[in-house]
Amino acid sequence: MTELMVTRGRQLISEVGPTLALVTALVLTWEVAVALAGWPSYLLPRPSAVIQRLAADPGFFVTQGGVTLAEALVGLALGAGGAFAIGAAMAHWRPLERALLPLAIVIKVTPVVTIAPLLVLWFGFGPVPKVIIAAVLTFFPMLIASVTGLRSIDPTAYDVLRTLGASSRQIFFALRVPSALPMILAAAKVCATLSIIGAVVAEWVGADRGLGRAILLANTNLDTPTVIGGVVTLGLMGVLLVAALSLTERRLLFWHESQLSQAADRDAP
Amino acid sequence: MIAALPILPSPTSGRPVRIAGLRYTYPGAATPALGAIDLDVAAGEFVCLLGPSGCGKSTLLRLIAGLLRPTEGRVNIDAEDRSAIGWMAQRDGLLPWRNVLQNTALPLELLGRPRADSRASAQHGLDRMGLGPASRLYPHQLSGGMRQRAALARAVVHEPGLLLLDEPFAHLDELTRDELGDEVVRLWADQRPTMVLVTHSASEAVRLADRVVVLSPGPGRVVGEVEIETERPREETDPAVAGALRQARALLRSRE
Repeated sequence: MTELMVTRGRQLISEVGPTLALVTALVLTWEVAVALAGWPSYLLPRPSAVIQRLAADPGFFVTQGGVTLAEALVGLALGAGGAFAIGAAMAHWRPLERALLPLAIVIKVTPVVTIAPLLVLWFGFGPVPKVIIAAVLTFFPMLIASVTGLRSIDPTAYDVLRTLGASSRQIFFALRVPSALPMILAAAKVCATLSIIGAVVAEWVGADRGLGRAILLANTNLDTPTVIGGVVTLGLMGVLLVAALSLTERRLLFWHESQLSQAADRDAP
Repeated sequence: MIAALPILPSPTSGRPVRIAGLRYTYPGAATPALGAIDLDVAAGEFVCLLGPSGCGKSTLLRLIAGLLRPTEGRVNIDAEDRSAIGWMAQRDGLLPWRNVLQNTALPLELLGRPRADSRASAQHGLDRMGLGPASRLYPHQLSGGMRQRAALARAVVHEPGLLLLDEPFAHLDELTRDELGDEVVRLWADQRPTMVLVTHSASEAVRLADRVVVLSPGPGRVVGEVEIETERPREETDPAVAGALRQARALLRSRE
């Protein structure tokens, strides 16, 4: 039992240790550099000042961050979820792919954040424009992953299912969805960070709440420790989302090459 | 050494296959891949389709399986229900997220049997093939030979009336190939489906089949047949088997 815990602990240290050491080194360099150069706090505050700001009023960052996170997650669910549904239809029926894919690419290459002012005009300062922007940004990566993933099936397994007279529905759930899962989860990681970016940018255009708005406001007041504190909070949100998805990958994709090679690396002497 | 007991086939529940005037051209291809083929396989008969690579023997098997639609002619397998066919190919086609038991149970689940029931039947089938201890392992934990064994278990779990094998031993070493060949013969003698096995190995064909049908280089047509009545398991040193092998090889060479 304790032996297992020690092994687990060592594993954790070997996995996050190098990153932690690098971050600590960078933060220390920053601290010392600012102290030596004597830059004013409104230009570049010391990391310690940022930590002080975060510690002084954590509730502020949590509340405002929570608003932004909720906007991002609802946008992600709608955008990525819708993309999967449409991707499934496109993978099933080629004419639909030919009709929709060019449109999707046009949306992809258009910098959609630029329609944010229009969305604010239509839907006001509430969460709706943020959700829409986050949804539009996550749509394309998930669409491509879904279409490609649902088509990337083992031809022999497909033959076996067809000789058994399996219906399209049976083939979809027994073969296509599990085959697509590695690509879908990889895309979900990309989409998670995109959804946060979308929510923040939409808040900049016009919002009554949220971390994006808080950062913009603090910047106007030359309250740079709050700006950087906000950025750090957003970064942590992204890290948490991606970590949750990586954990899901380990659980669901234990059979996939990506996980098997990692497991082999962990076991290597 | 103990002499191998003869394998005596039980009465058949297999389905006959009737192929008439069959031709196939792949969409967009200038030349046909196959045809014309006329071939009857009796209920419970074990036939090997032997031919050089590119002769269309795999295409013929896919046409029998209903995976391709004939350009001309017909294939009649005397069955409309979904449990009629068992399919096994060069690559195992096991689902990597399912363990051996779950993979083997898949055909039964697709045919609408309750999950617990399916798994029980699958476990029974695996036990009989000596795969019981591996039933909880995942494909990535198995050797190539074990995977093909599991693929064979999956192909026969629903007791199909027609078992179609597309070069099932192509990626295996010689020892594993022989072992799996014996396993195929035992399953055939036991369940007595009609069997069509595609191979490019004449020695494999005469070791296994009642009848070897030799195809010409593409577009494939039947150039001749060799019947082997020797009891199984067969030794290559047996005069009748050796004679059949010489005949099959001569037919293979005849159109090169």
